[in-house]
Amino acid sequence: MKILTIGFLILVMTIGQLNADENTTHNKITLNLDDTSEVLVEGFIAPTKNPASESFKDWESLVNLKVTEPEKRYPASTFRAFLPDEAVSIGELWQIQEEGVLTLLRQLHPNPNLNMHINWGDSYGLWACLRAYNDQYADIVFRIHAEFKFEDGWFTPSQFAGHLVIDRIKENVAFFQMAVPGGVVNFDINRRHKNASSFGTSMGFCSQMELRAGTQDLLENVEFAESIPQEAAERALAQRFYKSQQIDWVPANQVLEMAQAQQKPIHVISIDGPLMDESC
Amino acid sequence: MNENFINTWVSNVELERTPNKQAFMALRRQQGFKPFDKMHPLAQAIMKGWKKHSPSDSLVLSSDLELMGRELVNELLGSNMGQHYLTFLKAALDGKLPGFGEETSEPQSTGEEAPHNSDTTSLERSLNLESLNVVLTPQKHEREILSVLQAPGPGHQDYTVINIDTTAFENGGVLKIAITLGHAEASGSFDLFDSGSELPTEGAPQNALASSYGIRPDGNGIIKYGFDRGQAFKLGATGDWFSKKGSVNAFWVKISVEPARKPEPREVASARPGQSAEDVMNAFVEAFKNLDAEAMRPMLTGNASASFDSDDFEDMPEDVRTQFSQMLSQLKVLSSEYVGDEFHFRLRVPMADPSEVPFKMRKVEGIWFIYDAK
Repeated sequence: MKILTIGFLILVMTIGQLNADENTTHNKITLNLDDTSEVLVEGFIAPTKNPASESFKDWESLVNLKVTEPEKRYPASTFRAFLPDEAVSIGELWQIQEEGVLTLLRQLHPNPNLNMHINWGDSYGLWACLRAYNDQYADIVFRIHAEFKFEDGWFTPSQFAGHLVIDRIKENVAFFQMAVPGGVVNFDINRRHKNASSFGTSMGFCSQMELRAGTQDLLENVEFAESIPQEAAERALAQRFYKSQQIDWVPANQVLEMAQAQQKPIHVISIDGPLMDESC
Repeated sequence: MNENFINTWVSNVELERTPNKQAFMALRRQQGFKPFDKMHPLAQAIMKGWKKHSPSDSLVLSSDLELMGRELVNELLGSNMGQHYLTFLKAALDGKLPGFGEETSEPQSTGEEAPHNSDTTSLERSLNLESLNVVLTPQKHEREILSVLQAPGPGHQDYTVINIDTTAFENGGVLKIAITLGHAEASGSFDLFDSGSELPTEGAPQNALASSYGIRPDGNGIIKYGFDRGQAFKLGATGDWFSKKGSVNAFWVKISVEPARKPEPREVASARPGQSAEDVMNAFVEAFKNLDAEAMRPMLTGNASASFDSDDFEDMPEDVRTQFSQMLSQLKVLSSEYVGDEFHFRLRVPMADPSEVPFKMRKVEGIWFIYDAK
C-alpha cells in the first residue's frame, strides 16, 4: 500500500534486512508480435453498488460506471507495449509503454489516467515480468496502476494485473487478461461534491473489471520449459512499486504458529486498506 | 524487520472496526468473501490492542499474544517518522511497553468516509516523507492534487510541499491555485515560494511570493501569482497557528497556468509598437472605464494580470456591470511621469480602497506594458 512504503523503507534500511538477489543465470528469449494479426478484446465492468460508505451509494458516476466498449478489435501492434525491447530471461522485469495500455483502458472507461492523482512516490508504474516460456508460448505477467477520472471525482482500482501469452511461432496474442483482482476491497473513490467546496473518500469492491482475449484454459494446460511461480512474479512486480514489500508479510492466519515456532514477537499493522495496492 | 519480527497486517474492514465496515462486510460475506476470523486468537489480541478512536494502529505482540507495545499510526509525525517508529519497535522489544496507559479496544464511533477527515488521509500525511511534483506545460496546464496538511502549533510551520514546475511557459503567465479544504479539524494556510527558497519552520513565511491564510475546514481559497517567464515554485500547505497542534485535514488543490497572452499580430503591428506610454495609459484607462477585460489584458504582463484581476469583469452580472461602469466613468489619471526607463501613473479609482492606485509601465521588446498594478 502506497502510504506506508516510504516509512518502511527507512525501517528496512535502518534495521538492515534486505532480500538478496538471486544470481541464477537463465537463457534469454526475444518476444515479438506480427503486426498484421488482430486481437478481439472483451471488456467487462460489473455493477458497482457497494462502496463502504452510505454516502457514496447514490453517486451517479459510480452507479453508472460501465464498460465503454464491450468488444473491440485491436491490431496486434497495440500489445507491443507489453513486450520488452530486448531479449529477456525468466523472472526479468521491464517497463510497459504507456500509450498501448491507455488505448486498452479506454475500452473500459474514456478517461484513464496513469499519473495517479494521489501518489506518494510509489503509486505510478507499469511493469511486466517474463514468468514462463517454452518453444511455443511465453507468459508475461504484469501489474499496472491506473485510475479513471470522472467528471466529479476519481475511481482508483487496486491495480490491473494480468497475463499476456504470446504464441512465439505465430507471433500472435494467444491469451490476454488485464483485470482488477479481488479482495475485501479493490477500489478507492474520491468524490468532489457539486459545489466543489468539499470532497469525500471511500473504498469498495467491484466483482469484475476486466479486459480479456482468449481463454485461460490455454495457460492452465501448457507445460512450460522454464518458469517461476505466479506468486514469485507477483511479488517481484509489487516490489517495483512498494519498498515495504521487502518485508516478509505473513498471512494473518499463519502468524501465530510461525511466531510460536520461531519464538519471535509479532509486528501487526491494523489498517483500513490493503498494504500493497492502491485501493486504500 | 524480517529478522526480529513475524510481520503481518490485518484489514480494519475485515475486523469490522466501524459500523459502516460491519455493514459492508455483511454484504461482502453474502458475496462469498471469507474474512479473517474475528474469533481467531490473533484477531482478538489485535482488537483488544486497538486504541479507542484511533483508525490505524501498529502493535507488537509476544508470541503468546501479550501486548508489548502500541503505536498510533496517525500520530507518527512527518520527518522523523522512520526514527520514531524504530524507537517504538526497539522500546517494545526492550519491554518498555510503549503506548500503554491509553484507552484501548473500542471501535471508532464514526464512519471512515466522512469527507476527508478519514483515517486514510491522516495516515497518509503522517507518513508522507516525499514531496509532490507537478509539471505544467501549455499542453497540460492544469493538475489536481489531493493531499493532507497538519497543524504545526503556534509560531511554527510544517509544510506539506508540492513542487510546481512552470518552466515550459517561456513567456510567463498566471499561476492559479484553487484550494479546497476538507471537513476535518485543522484550518489551513498555503504559501507559494520560489523553488530556491528555504521554507521556514517557524515564524511568518516572509519569503512567500503569495499566500492564502486561515482557510477554514470546508472552506476555499485561491492563490494567483503572475510570472514573466517560466519558473519553478514550491507550494507549502500547513495547518494554521490556531488549530490544535497535530490536527490534520485533507486539501485539494487545482493548480493551473493561464499562459501570458501574446499580443495579436494585428495589435502589435498596427497599434502597440508605435504607441507612446501615454497612449497606452489612456487606452488602458478607457478599457478600465468600459470594464473591457479583453482590451486590458494585452497591456498587462503576467504579474500585473495576476494582481489586477480583470477576469472578474467578465463574470459580472449585467446590472452590476452597468453600475460599476457608471461609477468608473469618474475614473481619473491623477499623475503620470517617466521614471528612468519606466513610466508611472496613478489613477483615482472610485470605490477602491485606497482610491489612489499606482501603475508602473516598462518597455518589453519595444512595447509598453503595465507590469505592476497594485
